[in-house]
Amino acid sequence: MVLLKRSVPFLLAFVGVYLLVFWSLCRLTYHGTPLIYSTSPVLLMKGGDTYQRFREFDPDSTYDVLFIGSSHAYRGYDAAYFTRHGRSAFNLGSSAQTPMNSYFLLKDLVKPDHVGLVVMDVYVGALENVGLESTCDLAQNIPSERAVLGMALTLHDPRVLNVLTLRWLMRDRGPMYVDSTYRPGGGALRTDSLKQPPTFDLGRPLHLEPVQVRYLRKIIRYCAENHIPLVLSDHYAPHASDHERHAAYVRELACIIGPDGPPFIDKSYAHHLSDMDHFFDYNHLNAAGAEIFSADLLDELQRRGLLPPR
Amino acid sequence: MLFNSFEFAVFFPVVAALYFLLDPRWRWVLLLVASYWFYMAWRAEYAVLLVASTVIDYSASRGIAASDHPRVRRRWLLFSICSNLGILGFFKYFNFINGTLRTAAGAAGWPWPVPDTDVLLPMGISFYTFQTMSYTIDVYRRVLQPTRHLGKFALYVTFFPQLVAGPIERAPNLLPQFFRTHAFDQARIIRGLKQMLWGFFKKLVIADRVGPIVDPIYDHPALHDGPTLLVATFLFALQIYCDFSAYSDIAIGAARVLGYDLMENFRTPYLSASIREFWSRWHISLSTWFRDYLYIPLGGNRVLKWRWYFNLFVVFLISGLWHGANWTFVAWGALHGTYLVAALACAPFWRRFDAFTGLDRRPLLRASINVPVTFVLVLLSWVLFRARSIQAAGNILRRMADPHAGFDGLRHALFDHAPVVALITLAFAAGFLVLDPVIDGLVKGERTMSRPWQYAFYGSLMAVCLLFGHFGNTAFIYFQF
Repeated sequence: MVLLKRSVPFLLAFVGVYLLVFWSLCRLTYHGTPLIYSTSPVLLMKGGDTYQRFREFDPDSTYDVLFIGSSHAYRGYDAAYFTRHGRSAFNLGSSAQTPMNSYFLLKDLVKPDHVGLVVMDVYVGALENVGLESTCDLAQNIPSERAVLGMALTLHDPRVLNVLTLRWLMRDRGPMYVDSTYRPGGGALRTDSLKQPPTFDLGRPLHLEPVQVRYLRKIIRYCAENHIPLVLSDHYAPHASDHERHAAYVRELACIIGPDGPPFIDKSYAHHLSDMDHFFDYNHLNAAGAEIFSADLLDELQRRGLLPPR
Repeated sequence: MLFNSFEFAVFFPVVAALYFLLDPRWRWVLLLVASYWFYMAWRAEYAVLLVASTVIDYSASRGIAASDHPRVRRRWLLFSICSNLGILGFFKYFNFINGTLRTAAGAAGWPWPVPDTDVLLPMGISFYTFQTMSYTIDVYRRVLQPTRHLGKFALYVTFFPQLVAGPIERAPNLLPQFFRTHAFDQARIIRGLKQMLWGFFKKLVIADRVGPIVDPIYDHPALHDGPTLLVATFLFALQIYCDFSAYSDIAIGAARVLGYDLMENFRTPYLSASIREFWSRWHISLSTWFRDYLYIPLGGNRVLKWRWYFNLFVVFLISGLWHGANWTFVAWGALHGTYLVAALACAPFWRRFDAFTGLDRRPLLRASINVPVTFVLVLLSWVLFRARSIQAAGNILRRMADPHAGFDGLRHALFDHAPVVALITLAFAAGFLVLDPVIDGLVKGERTMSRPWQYAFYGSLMAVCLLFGHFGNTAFIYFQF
């Protein structure tokens, strides 16, 4: 009883000090940036392509194709190209978005009967990530409280309390910066290129996060249960990257998807792009590369009959 | 399992709740299972070593107690010491010794066919090996009657709060506590939680924030000038103290919540006025272990003067080696041994000097000179402890002594990348240095504070941990030992 009685004022003191310091750090600025962003790398600023994307996205609109996944999705899958070619499309990718994040986005933001096909990029890096970075980014920028709470609770990390508090304290503020590479339709395409051969740390062991494997399975199940056609895809990778590692990943992915799972379109090395001219860094396509990949993907989807009827 | 992990945040309250709900007769079973769970969360297969250590010392102690024949008793003792040190030696020192022999053979032009092993150093092996060895030695010395209860002895070896990084407990203190019933004492639980919270603050807000400043500088010392290296070493001194004493605080606090008293391991060591005093305040459980089981058996100070100095030096040399299989740790131990021997040899001179200058009548003034001098000596030794090689340590010390270096390098190293983050970290570090003696006394119950202030203080401490803590599951530095 004493323990309970004493824990109440202690908790009140904790919450009071916590909110007071948090609020003050949101107000105090250094070179125009609130000090709160210097307290922890997980507190990301509101704004950028994620903010623009989720403000533009209209859950009541109908899309033939919806792209989802990490930065590979919004950098490499050009929704505008699909739209230009008669297929309405939108890109819901976000920085370091993991299957866990994608699951909550699909569940809470996307209406199953408004989507003809979901193309999910399954870049290996997204499955090797616990999802903290992406959750922090999405927590500041997406409108759905439920999706944010779902992601935050999955993380098992005390820092999500800071992330949620920041979201709450910044709820009335607009975006703090704009991403100039953002394009209507959710993409964010860069026009620069690497210009030098990328180097790769070859032979790195593959370690998929169990939580992401679990959520990838949940996405497959969710889409199947809600009659949302799903295609998994991996976009072009530089030729100099680790082929053996990729092969190992594809084998693991095949086990996760299972024989009755959604189709997997692996375009990683099925291309003739230049590592230096069509990538802006060691694994992201630039606008020129994204256009070639999107054309290739659209052809493939059409050829396989995976696109919804017009 | 790390104390600063989400797993522990779930594990500990569940274990504590079950512990007090369970019939006291079976609590040891819960603690034993929890302790193995705690250890096996890291690498399940290495639990075999814990079992081996337990069985070896249980059998050896029973064997010793069963006989009055000195030779039989000695054989059992030797069996325990050789087995324990054999396991420790293989896992911790094999590659070090092998590498040293290979280098020596190479210098002599001989081939060295023995390859290195690629086994992982078992977490906490140095800690639990010393703890179990002390038990058998105590039984051999008839300080302690061996326990018949294998389960409770196994718990003594593996008790999770102090299993992987101490304090290195002694059987006469800890073992009898497993035979007592610990009531649900709320005041005690609150004290334990306070000490744990202080430990988390030191680890998350100081040690783990300072680490990212120190690491890049010490990883590439050749890129930095003297003042930068000096500040990095100062920050490392803070980091290692906060990191290690945080572990001890969390361990002692967690044990206290469950009703157990562990020995104190740190007592504001940087306020020591001599190296000797430093070792009575830093890693107390290890320094007293070496005193009781190595220094005194070697003859301690009841021998000729040269032999006394030799004993001291050897103890510190071995203490250095205990910390790690690297010549830098040996040199670190040797340097501390040298400090102590030099202090003893010069003691008559300093006594006369104090009398001549009147410092012996002004203890505060003497402390204000001796404390910074001792700290600088300790700081120099940390260079050896943190550097990757003796050569690197030599280069760092040479650069530190360069009188021509300016402060531009320091400014770039600290403030170019993330100035506000660095400033916040330095502010916490400075605040900690000022407040540590006060707060340390407070959480250990040596000082008191009115209840409203306590709520405000501990509530703020928790808020600061959550807001400014570095949550990245960073392992404690002493895990590698």
